[in-house]
Amino acid sequence: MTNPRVNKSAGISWWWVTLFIVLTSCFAVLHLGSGDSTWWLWPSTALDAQILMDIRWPRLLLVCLNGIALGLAGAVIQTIFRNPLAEPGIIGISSGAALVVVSALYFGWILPTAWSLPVLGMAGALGAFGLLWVLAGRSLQTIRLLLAGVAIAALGSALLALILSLAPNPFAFQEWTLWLMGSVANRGWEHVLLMLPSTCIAVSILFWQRHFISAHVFASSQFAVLGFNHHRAQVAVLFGLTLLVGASVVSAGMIGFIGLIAPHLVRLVGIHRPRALLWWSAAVGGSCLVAVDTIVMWLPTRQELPLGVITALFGAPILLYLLHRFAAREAGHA
Amino acid sequence: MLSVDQITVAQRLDPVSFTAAEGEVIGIIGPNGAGKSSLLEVLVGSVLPQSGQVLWGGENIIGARPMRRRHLVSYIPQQPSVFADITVTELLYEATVNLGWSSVQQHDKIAQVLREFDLQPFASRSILRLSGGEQRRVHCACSLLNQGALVIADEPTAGLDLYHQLMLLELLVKRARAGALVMIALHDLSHASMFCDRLALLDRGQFIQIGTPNEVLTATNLEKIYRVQVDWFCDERGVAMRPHRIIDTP
Repeated sequence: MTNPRVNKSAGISWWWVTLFIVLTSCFAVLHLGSGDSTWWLWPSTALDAQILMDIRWPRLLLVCLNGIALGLAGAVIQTIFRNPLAEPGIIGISSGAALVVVSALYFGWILPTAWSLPVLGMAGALGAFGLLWVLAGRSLQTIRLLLAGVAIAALGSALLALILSLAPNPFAFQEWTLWLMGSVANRGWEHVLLMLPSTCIAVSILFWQRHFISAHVFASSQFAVLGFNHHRAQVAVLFGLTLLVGASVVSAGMIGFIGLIAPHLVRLVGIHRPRALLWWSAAVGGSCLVAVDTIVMWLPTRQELPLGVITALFGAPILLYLLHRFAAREAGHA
Repeated sequence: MLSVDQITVAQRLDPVSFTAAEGEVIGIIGPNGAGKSSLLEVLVGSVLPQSGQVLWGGENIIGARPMRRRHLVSYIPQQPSVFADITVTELLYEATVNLGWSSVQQHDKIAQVLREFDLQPFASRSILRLSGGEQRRVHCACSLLNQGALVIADEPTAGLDLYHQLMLLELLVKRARAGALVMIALHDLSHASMFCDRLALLDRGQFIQIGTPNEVLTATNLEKIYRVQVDWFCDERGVAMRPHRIIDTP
């Protein structure tokens, strides 16, 4: 008997890997060179070199890390909730982080240092994680987790809307609204340095728990005999998700759709095995967000568009196409 | 030796005690809501009992480490399901998680269960595109892959055609004869009498009786517990019955 697993991945992946690398590289080069056609990767003056090192590279790395974090978080959440429509915002972590950041700006809790706001945001994400843990109960059943997450997300969104409505300064209101839709404009190395360790730790945790995550292809009734310490593994996975989503929100705001769409794009090319889905979603998420930010940078708009606008503009039609494809397949199957 | 000692589950199971040895096939029978699945879920470890203990060779397996249960218990749940559009072989690979097998061992065991469960024609097909009965066979194959010494099957024949029902039950008997203890919840009393060495009869969470099929499948038990009258025939090959009337209860 041949091993279908080896055959399948070798047969499909190489074309996609090549295409993926070429496309990502093209977008990365376009991203670095946007706005000025006289230089690309080799700046001729000291000022160009400074722009490249202090603005372009951190922005590219930050947007790539954000895409990786959201793509991976989306795949993990869809797998553990066994729901293809789940996305990172569903567990309330992003609302918690955003609420604390906006509250800090509103009440002036921030210290005069670039680190204070991201650190507060991460504290908000961890607070939401703690609340999720308490509300979901010790059993951490999927349905209770989901309901607790939805409740936290709804509460966070409501409080955010309240704070935004009460904002005394209309410019602050506009700025916060734009931030909430996701942006990596005016970010520097400090944001990359916040995002990088969080992402690395989270990826390590999720890699450690990859078998537990992929075991969610089976019904929950089978978990008792699959050899996992369910509670410990669940907490570890949620903590990993908190780091990914929290760091993403504090460094770039709430970027929608990437976490939802990236796993579906991976499935679209025939990769369905949960473990492969996780890492491919991370890679596709990173690549897509680089592409989206490149579009944002090249678009001749008066003010830079939030990333969330472009991801929604591209993501919604893709989602509708997937829905149509799913419905057609169901009809054919019936 | 399995020793179930005074196991209770709130509102589902009153104290249950019995012992069973390796090599036996124990059928758990009873009408809907009798507590069959609850009893099996306690043995599997997915439900914690209010009181009592389950000893396997003197070791209480209720609080056993997950990896201990992984190697000890093979479990076919009542309603298995799968949540990914993956092939049968890929799902079987997922089912080898935490078994510590080399890739050669994985390959050999998967090839073996594909043969045993008559799944070779579907090996490369998506699990979601199989019929309900075919999916059920795949789940049974996944569950029995780990060759556990304690095999627990909750209505494993549901949804299978007659050929595959018999094939699965014969396979479970073969496992028992090879040294495993097999416990099966069944609704088909003919199958229970044919394939099980002993039957444990439950009703509304209460343990009624355990014994050979001839001892348990009496007209009195069937009328009292199942509320059906049967024509029944008993010989050295087992019990055969033909239900012919529902007994109305006030």
